[in-house]
Amino acid sequence: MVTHFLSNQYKEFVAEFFKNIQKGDLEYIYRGSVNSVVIANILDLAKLNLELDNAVQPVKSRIYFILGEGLQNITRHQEIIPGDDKYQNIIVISKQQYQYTITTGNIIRAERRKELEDKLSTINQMSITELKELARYIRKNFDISPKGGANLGLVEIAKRSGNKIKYSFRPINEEFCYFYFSAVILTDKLEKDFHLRDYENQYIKYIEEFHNYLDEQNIYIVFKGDFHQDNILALFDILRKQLPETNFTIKLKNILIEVLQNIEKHADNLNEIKDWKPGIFTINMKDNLYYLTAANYIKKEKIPVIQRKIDKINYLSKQELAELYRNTLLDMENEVTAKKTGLGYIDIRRRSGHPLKYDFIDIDDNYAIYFLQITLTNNGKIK
Amino acid sequence: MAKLNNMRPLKIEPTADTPKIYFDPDKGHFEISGLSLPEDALEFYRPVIAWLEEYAENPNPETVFDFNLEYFNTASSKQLIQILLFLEKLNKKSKVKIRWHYKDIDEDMKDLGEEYSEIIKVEFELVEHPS
Repeated sequence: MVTHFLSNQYKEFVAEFFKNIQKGDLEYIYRGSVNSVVIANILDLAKLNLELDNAVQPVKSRIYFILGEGLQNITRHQEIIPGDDKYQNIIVISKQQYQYTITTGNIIRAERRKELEDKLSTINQMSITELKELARYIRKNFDISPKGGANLGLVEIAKRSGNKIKYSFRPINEEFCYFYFSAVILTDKLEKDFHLRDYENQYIKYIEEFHNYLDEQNIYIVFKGDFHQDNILALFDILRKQLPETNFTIKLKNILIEVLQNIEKHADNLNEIKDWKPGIFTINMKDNLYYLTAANYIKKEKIPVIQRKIDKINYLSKQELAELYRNTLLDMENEVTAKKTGLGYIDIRRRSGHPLKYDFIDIDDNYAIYFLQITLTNNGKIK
Repeated sequence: MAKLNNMRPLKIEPTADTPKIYFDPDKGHFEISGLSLPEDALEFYRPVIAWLEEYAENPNPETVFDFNLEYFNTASSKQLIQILLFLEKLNKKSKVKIRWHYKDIDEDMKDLGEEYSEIIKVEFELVEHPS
C-alpha cells in the first residue's frame, strides 16, 4: 500500500534537485540562526570535503576563506524578526563539477539595502588589482570601524573569488528583507565559460525560490550528494555538535545513520556509475512532528520488495516489533553478507514509534525515485 | 597480580566510525566503547571475535566486559550480538559479567540493553550515567 504522503511540490523539488547531479557533486543547506558553533561545524564539513577534492591547495584555501568570511558576515548583520520564526537565515554550500558556490541569505533591515547595493556594485566594477589596493587601503585606514571593518570582508571575498559577486534582495515585510550573497570559485579555469553562464543567469533566482520553499515547509537541513561513508559521517558529526543531546536528538541521529547507510548500500544510479549513490536528505518540522525524508534512485524491480518489507512492519505492535527484531538479530543465515542485516527498517520503525511512509515516482522504464519518510515526536526540546 | 594469561592485549584505537577496543586479560579489562558505525561491521569485528576465541582457550577466572557505546548501526548490532552470545558460552569457563553502559537520556540504548540481557543468560548489569 503506497501512501501518497508527499506533496507534488516536494516531489518536484526533489526531481529538480536530481536532474543535473553529477558524480562528486554536493549540496549542503542549513537554515536557522547562525552562531559560532554552527559556523565551526560548517567549516569542518567543508574542510573534510576539500580534503577529498582534487583541486589544488590555493583554490582550497580560497574556498575555505570565502566560506568563513561569508558566514561571519551573517553573524555580524543578521536580524531576528520579533515574534515570527518562519523567516530564517540560509547557508548553501554547493559543489558542482569545477565550481564551488557559497551563498548566504540573511534577514536585514530594509533600510540597509541601498548601502549594501552601493557597496557591492562598486566592488563588482573593480578589477582584481583595484580590489587589492582597496583592501590594503581599508586595512591601513579603517582598522577599527563599528561594523567589522568597512566591509573589508566583502572586498576580500570579491578579490579571492575572482568572479563577480552575485547579490539580491527579497522583501519580507516593510521593515525587513532577505539579503542574498553568492560567490563562486572555479577549481578549473578551462571550464569557466560554461559554468559561469549558468551561474549568472539562474542561480540566485533559484536560491530565492528555494529559500521561500524551505521557509514554508520549515525545512532545517537539506543534504544532497553522494552518500558515501565520509559524507554520512560528516553530516552525522555536524548534527552531533549542533544538537544538544536529548532522547529525541539521539533517536534522530541513530535514524539518520540507518537511513543514509541504507541509501549507501541499496541505492542505484541512473548511469550505472559505480560507487556513487546520489541521494537527498531533509529534516523539517510541522505541527510539532519532525520529518526525516530521504530520496534516492532505485531500479524498479526493487519496489515490491521494499513495499513488502515496510508494510510488514508498519502495523505491528511494540511487542511484535520487539520479537521480530530479536528473531532477525539472531538469524545467522544472512550473516555471509556484510551488507544485509534485515534489521534496518525494523530498527528505524522501532525508534520512530510511527509507521514509515514511502512513495515512488517513475523516472523511466527501469528507474524510480524512492522516498522514505520517518516521523518523530519530540517530547523534549530540540533547541 | 600474578600473570593470569599469556595473551597479548588487543588494543584498537577508535576512528570516526569504529569503536575503541581494549582487551587486557592481565588487567582484567574488556571494553568496547564509542561509536560503531562502520559500513562493513563484519570485517571490523572479525579480529575482535578471533581474539576472544583465543582468549576463551585459557580465560581468567572472571571476565567483566564493558559495552560503553554511544551510537551503533544495525550492521554492528549483528556483530555485537555475536560477541554477547560468545560471552554466554565463555561463562562456562570464566565467570562472565556484562556491564551495559548508557546515558540516562538515551532510552533506546537502555531498551536495547534490557532486550539483550533477556537473550544472553549471564550476569548483565545496566549502568546508567548522568548526561
